[in-house]
Amino acid sequence: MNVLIVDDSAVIRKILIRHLQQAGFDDVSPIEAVDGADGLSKFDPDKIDLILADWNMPNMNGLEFVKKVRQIPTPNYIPIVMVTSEGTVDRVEEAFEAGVDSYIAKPFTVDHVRTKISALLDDDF
Amino acid sequence: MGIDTKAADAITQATISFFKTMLTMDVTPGKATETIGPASQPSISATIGISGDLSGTMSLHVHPDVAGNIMESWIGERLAPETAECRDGIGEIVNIVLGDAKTTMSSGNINFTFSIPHVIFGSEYQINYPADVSIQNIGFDSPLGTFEVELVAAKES
Repeated sequence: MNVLIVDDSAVIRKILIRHLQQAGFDDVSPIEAVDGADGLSKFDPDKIDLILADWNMPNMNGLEFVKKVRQIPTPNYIPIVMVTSEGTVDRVEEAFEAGVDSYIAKPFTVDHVRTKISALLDDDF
Repeated sequence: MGIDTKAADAITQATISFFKTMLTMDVTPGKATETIGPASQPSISATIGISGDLSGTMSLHVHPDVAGNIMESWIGERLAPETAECRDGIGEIVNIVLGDAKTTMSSGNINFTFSIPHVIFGSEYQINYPADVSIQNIGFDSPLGTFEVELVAAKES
């Protein structure tokens, strides 16, 4: 499973990769991006299976990134999870309106990651 | 209770929650003081600007050795405090704590936005603030060492 992880924090990218593996997603091949612009440049619609994106990032924030990704035609639907410290109701609604499929508020555990991503991958997109 | 006191309470609870959730560790807050940190030198200080119903800054001050302990417990690697990754991690803690506190405070109809964290690392530095602000510096004890969480807020008009 090719997972595009877009977060300006190298520590959070590292923790997400470790949590994905600990959650039982053994076949994860992470592709790391440091902000939305970098994420767009590394986004291959034919290869990416899942996107995890932060919200607050320099250059291009996560919301802009999600909106741009959703404008790109893809052969299969690619689920997007927003992983962010922005957990207020209006922010969550804004993210879903932009095209996010699930939301993980920081701080998070391995169980949060497992539950949210398993539910997405089990859905028939 | 003023907005700054509510914010300090929310930040204290969010700090406890961060360590409990991501490091499976209990940390214990002390009583808030008006002391401007960092108390120990050298230190790493991560600061985020806040704007809205609450206006000011939130900072985490931590001795480099304690920062190394925190990062080792969090990501499983010992990072030298002068590395970009260690500073990134300390900045991310402030980001997560303030985001969690923001969610709590929004339920009480107190809303604000905040910036990306800035991190200072070195010895014998002092952070100056405007004169007319409320300062609440909360010291925490943890199995990894002590650290301070500081809220500097503009006084309500």
